[in-house]
Amino acid sequence: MKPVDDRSAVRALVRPLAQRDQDLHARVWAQVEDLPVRRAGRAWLFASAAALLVAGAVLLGLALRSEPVLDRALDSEHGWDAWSPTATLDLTWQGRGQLSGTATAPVVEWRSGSLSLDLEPGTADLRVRTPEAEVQVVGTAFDVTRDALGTAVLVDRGAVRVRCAGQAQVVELGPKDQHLCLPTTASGLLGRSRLLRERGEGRAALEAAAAGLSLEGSEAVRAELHALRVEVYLDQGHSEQALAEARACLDQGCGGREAELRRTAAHLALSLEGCGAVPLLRSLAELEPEEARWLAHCEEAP
Amino acid sequence: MTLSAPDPHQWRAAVSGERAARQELLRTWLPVVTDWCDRLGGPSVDAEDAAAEVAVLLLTRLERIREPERLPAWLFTTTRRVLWRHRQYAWVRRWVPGATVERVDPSRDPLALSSSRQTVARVRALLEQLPARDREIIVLCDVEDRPDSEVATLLGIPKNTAKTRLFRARRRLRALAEAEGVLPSLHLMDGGGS
Repeated sequence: MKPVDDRSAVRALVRPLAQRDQDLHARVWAQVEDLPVRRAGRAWLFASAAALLVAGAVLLGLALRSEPVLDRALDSEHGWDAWSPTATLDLTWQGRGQLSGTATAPVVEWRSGSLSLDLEPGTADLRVRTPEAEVQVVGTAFDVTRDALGTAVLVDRGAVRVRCAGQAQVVELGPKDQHLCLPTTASGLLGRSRLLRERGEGRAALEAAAAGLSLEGSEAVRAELHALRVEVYLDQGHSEQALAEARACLDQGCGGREAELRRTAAHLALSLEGCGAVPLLRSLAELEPEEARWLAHCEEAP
Repeated sequence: MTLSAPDPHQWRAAVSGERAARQELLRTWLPVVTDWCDRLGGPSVDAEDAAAEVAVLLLTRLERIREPERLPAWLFTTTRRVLWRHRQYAWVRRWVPGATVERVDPSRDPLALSSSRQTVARVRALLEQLPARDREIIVLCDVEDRPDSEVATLLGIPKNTAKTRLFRARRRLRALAEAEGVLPSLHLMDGGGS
């Protein structure tokens, strides 16, 4: 066996670096995609110089602070464990997230599950962020729960300010107040509407799915939202609305749900419109015996 | 992987300030620059900030790059300068009393701290111990798999110099990896090399 040469050894060693960090690429693109694209003028140069000066001052200020930096993963393995990053802040959680920042300006990036915080008033500028909300804590005890319904904030005592993603309005919450920030993506709203349907809250499920359809989303997600609305209308016995929803989906492209929704629409049209269902029956890839009988019957009719 | 110069028509449109052409230029080159920042910057440099800075420089100095053929080499040299400056900032921060400035990483996810990331971190730490010119040639040739002629153009050196530099850089990196016991077990019999 020949010894391995330097080229092969080094290539094998550095191979893991060849994989692109997709998150990094997305973040960089988000930073630069809206940059001014005209040639730089004097104003841009002055603005850049001012921004650099400010950034330098901020960096120096940060560097001169002697606070320890917080960096801790909050993961589900800890269960309802209690842990205090500072003498004045208590965290308990079930779910996962990340604690960062400093003792006087801690930041919790919360991904999913429930988080309870108890902060002594005036001791830190604590922020909790989820994809749907940013909670600024004035000094309080409160819970943040993130699930398919969105991000819910429940204040036990004290006060917090909540700003839902995509909204300028800041909501101030006092003791026992509760606020919910809804998902902000079509797929997030699909998750919310599914959960609402499971809970029997049909009307709210319909609204959430409609909100999802009003946003940009892939064809697959849009098809699922339409299909969910059809199912909820059927749960409620509203056949006409279910048929209209199924037709709307078929008109716009229903992805993987197309065959199923075409059949549902054909059956609904048969019961509501009789032979008006012929175009839908004809468009089915395969006819079941009952459907074939109906089609033959309608085509023989004068 | 080969870098090709922008189409002359698109280039002229971008230089004259046409929005769509400039966006297209960024869309093509930003991923390349981001990879360079990520792979060459080392742990002390924020690759996101460095790549964004190079993008700003590209958009504001486009007209200074006289021919589109020179864009790849211009971008590499600019990335190298930006990374050098960011390394200096990081070095200064290290010696100023107080905390190290750390950005909140929105993508940081406890579940993502997998063993593959640890491997990447170990390889990055090894590369960090090499001189900058060794690190650059290893990244361009062995990570990004670029041909010798392109690497020579990007670095602004003759092709034979690039080959010699690569030979020495590989030898140094291998020695470091062996000394630290991080060389992967290989079962290769072939002894070829470029």
